[in-house]
Amino acid sequence: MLAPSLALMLYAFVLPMLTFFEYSFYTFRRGKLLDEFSLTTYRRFLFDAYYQTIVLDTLWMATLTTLLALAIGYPLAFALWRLERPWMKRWLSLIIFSPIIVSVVVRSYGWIVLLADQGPVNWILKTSGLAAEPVTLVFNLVGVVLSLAHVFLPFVVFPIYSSMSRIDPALREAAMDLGAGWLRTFRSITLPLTLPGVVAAVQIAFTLALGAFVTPAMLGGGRVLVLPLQVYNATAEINWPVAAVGGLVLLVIAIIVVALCNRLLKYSEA
Amino acid sequence: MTSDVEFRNVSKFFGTHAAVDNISFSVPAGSFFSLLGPSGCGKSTTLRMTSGFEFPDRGDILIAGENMAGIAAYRRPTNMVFQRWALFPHMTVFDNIAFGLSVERQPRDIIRRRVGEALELVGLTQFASRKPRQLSGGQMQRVALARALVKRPKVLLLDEPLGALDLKLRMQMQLELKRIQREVGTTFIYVTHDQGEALTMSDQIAVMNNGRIDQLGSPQEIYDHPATRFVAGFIGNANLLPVQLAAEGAGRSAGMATVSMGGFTFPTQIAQEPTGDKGWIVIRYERIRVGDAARAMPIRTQARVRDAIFAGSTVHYVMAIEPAGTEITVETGHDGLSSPLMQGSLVDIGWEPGVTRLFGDV
Ligand SMILES: Nc1ncnc2c1ncn2[C@@H]1O[C@H](COP(=O)(O)OP(=O)(O)OP(=O)(O)O)[C@@H](O)[C@H]1O
Ligand SMILES: [Mg+2]
Repeated sequence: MLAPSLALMLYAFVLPMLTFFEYSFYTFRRGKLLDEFSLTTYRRFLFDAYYQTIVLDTLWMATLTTLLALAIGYPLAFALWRLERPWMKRWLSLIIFSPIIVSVVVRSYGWIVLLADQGPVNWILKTSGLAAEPVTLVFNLVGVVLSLAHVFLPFVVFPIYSSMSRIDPALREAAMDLGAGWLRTFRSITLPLTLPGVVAAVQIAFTLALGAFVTPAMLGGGRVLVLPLQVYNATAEINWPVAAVGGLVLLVIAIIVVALCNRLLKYSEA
Repeated sequence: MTSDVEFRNVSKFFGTHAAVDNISFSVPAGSFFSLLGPSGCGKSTTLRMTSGFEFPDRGDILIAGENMAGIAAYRRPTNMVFQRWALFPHMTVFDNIAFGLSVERQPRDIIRRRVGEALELVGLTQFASRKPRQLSGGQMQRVALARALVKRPKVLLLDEPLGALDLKLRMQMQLELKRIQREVGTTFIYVTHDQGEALTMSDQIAVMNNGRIDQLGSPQEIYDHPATRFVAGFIGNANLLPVQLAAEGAGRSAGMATVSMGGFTFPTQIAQEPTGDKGWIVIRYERIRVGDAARAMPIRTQARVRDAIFAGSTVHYVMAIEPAGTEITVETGHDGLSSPLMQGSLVDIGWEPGVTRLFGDV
């Protein structure tokens, strides 16, 4: 059982990674790829303001997306957990699941229509008097973050929900019995005990957001330049070194985030 | 004597099923009160209504004279020890016990002192910094007890707190609970389905059956004078034997009646007046004398030994009463010297007239 999967991993994952790694040391000069060892690309990613901005924008977008997905996902998970009627539970989980059932292209167009200057959201803002001018919600960071947070909902809600449903109901009763009201019970019992679910949700949402390509491309309208887009553009110009280093930077960030989260998890359980 | 908890005609329905059906009782301050009954009879529901996790559909619950209608769990002067203890897994033993006090915003040094006292009371001082999963069942049980007691409740509620422990530890914890109760003087309401536990520890026992209280009394009253057939059968080991009543009025005198069982006629105490001419008598295993001891009894007959069950300090004999063959179980002490009765042998059995109780045929 183990050998075939190891072989597959080696062929489909480790080998490409090594090739990738090798390309990151090539030289790209005047539109040509040269087989000359250099650290130029690494240096550019570290010190060139252009690349620094891309990396920071990517981190910023992933952070905002994760926070928004958590802010919406945690209460949804809580509602799913507290709902008494099975049919309500079924419907709510279907709604939470729906974004990943729909194709990313279709969903993105949906958001474009919804958030456009003449779209329903702006119409509501205008008629309710909240905004005199249309608010730009699409072809910028806002649209990208909204749409990504939307897709990631199931990945955020279900780990949290599962950690909630593992809590012994007697614990909440015990807290109330000892004099804790709703808020105190939530803060001291429910929240700490669902932290592992939250951490898992953060890991998933953040790493998915780092690698998101179609959504930033469609809803960013060219104004949201994140690393995956930069990598794509680089491959189009056969600039393998930039593509490789961009990919490696994404990988390193993801590894750091996952490691940090695991650290947090251990701390919360100790 | 003042009462700490009082139930007045309390009922609780789940759907159309009455989990608790019009019960009334009052628990004297400082006493050890047990709710005893088989699974599903409504013990936990009664306790949960006292703590405020459930609210009665009918009737009133008073704690220390105050009506608890509409008062939430966290505002009641009761604390609960849960069946599976419900310790907070992410907190240390100290923090578990301190939780109720920190909710009250007690100053830090007071919390430290009172938690220290509680730990000492249950003998867990050196375990303060452990997490619940690093404790044994008995230790977790003590933490749960300390966590509830540290709040100095008027009434401590315990829902089968020893149910998950093994027999040896259970006996040890019974004694310890009783000691702690005497030491702190708090009213304990103790839920159990284990009649032995209830008999050993309680000042008062309410025996529940199907959402009702069948009998309320001291352990001895309940053991010696069961009020219903259910109580008689539930508490201790008792034979329940069908009998025929003698003709109307015959052999009646001051609470006694004459009954017969397949030709064997004898007097019995009346616990519950039968409506027809059929009834049941209840007689405990250990009240029946065998052999020489039986010959000195006012009521006696002969029985054939069918089976002997050895149980260490006692031996249970299943016998058939001659001539009808009614089966009866007899308990005798085992002294380790005399050999048990032979299977198939015919022996004398007998008892005092006061030890059988007659119940109606319902
Ligand atoms: N939340 C609930 N919803 C519906 N029915 C319930 C609920 N809680 C209890 N019941 C029913 O009420 C009856 C009494 O339950 P209760 O838990 O009080 O029994 P118990 O005497 O504590 O039994 P056990 O010894 O098994 O714990 C049972 O028939 C049970 O099925
Ligand atoms: Mg129960």
